[in-house]
Amino acid sequence: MWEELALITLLGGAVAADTTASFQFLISSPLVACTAAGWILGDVHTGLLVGVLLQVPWMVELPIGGARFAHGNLGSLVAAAAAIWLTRASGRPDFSLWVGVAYGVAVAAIGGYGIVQMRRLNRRLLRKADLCAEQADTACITRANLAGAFHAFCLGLLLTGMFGAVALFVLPALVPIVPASLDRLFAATKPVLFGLTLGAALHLFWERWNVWALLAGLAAGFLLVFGGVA
Amino acid sequence: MKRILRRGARTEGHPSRPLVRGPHVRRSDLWRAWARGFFVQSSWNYERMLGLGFANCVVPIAKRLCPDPRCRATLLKRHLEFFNAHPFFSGWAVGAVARLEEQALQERWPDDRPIRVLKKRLAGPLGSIGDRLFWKLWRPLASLVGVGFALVLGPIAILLFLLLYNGPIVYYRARSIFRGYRLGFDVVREMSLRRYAKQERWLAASGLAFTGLLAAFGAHHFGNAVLVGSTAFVAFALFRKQFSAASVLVSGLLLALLAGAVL
Repeated sequence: MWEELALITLLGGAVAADTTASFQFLISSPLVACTAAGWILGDVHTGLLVGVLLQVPWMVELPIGGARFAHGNLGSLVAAAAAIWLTRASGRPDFSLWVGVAYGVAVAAIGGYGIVQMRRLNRRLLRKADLCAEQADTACITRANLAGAFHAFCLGLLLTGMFGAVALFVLPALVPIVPASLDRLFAATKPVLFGLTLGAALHLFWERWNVWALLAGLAAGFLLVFGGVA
Repeated sequence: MKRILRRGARTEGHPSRPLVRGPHVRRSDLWRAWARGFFVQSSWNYERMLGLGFANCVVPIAKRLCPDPRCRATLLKRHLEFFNAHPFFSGWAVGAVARLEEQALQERWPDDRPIRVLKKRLAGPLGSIGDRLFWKLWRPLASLVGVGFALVLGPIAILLFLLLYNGPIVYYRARSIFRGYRLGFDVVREMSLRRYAKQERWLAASGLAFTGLLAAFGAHHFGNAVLVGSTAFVAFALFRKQFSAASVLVSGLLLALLAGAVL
């Protein structure tokens, strides 16, 4: 158990570092990070499912300029881990998915606050870099810049470790509060979350003069589905 | 990239055929700046935004052009100032600045005003075009394709998604530095919204087409076309009203409970 938590925490550090501070290869995106979490925890299917459902909705929040945005990537990673641990503890996949995603949204919001604090902390690096430039010390400037990526990594470690531990040790203990007889309430979670994906995509790409593209895509999709490809 | 540098070689001040005496930026320096570009946002802060990251990208150029510590200190301090751009587009500024710093030393410019003016004029367009092109269009488009592949192919789709998304970006980041270096101050002309309008239109249309395609696949995969469609419509309306992603997700979870109770 502790090994799993340690690995997920390390993955959280990498996710936070890749989100904005370095590379930005989208290794941190829910689709990749949640599948990796599923692979680590031995349930790739649930990991991939959470990644598929949360990949696009978080993209509506653009990380531009000084805008505040939720840490959707980290939230999704914790959501996937929580969903897998809860499924393992309760054997109720739909309920676990719902609770995992709700918990992940809360973690993402707290993570957004963490990003703001980290960026304030990064201001201190400027003082150091100014001194480095004064002495024409290029290695020192590189170190000061990389310290920012290290801050992001530590933020990821801290948030994933803390909220991962709650998901692993506390949430399963609360499962009996919701009796299994209410499980049908959670049966619509997957189609609804997928609907959010489509809504987010429509919002991002919508231009009235492009409706023909949407209709063409729909027509092609139905042809492929009823043609037996899917 | 080679083609760009070969063309660049005919112009003044290129390392392979120097026409002007003085220090010259080498191709390897631009590649080093490119590699450092992956950390351009590492130290992002509210005071100077990309300032420190940009200075870090310019380090190989400073080392090459300024063997003298005083000259290097001046150059580095100049680039530690406020700067902001989209991280994938910042290469244009790094390349152009490399060219201008080179020219300033070769032609003994009396002050560094043109370099500061260039950075100031580039910051806005590099941010707005990059944000629209990459954050608003390319990243969601690649994600939609990745999600679609994941529904059909399973976990192997992750590799396809990473290749699809990163291939063009890694290439573009390199191209922008080399082309920025070739153009120098003229890079300002390259940065107009109209120049990228065609790509934007194409990406938006592709995005909508994939949304339609995915809607059909998803409705089939998750089994409730009416619920998927109506949630998509509600989410679209909420996003249009500027609701945050977190609040839309919470609304979705509540809607799921309601749907579960009714169905």
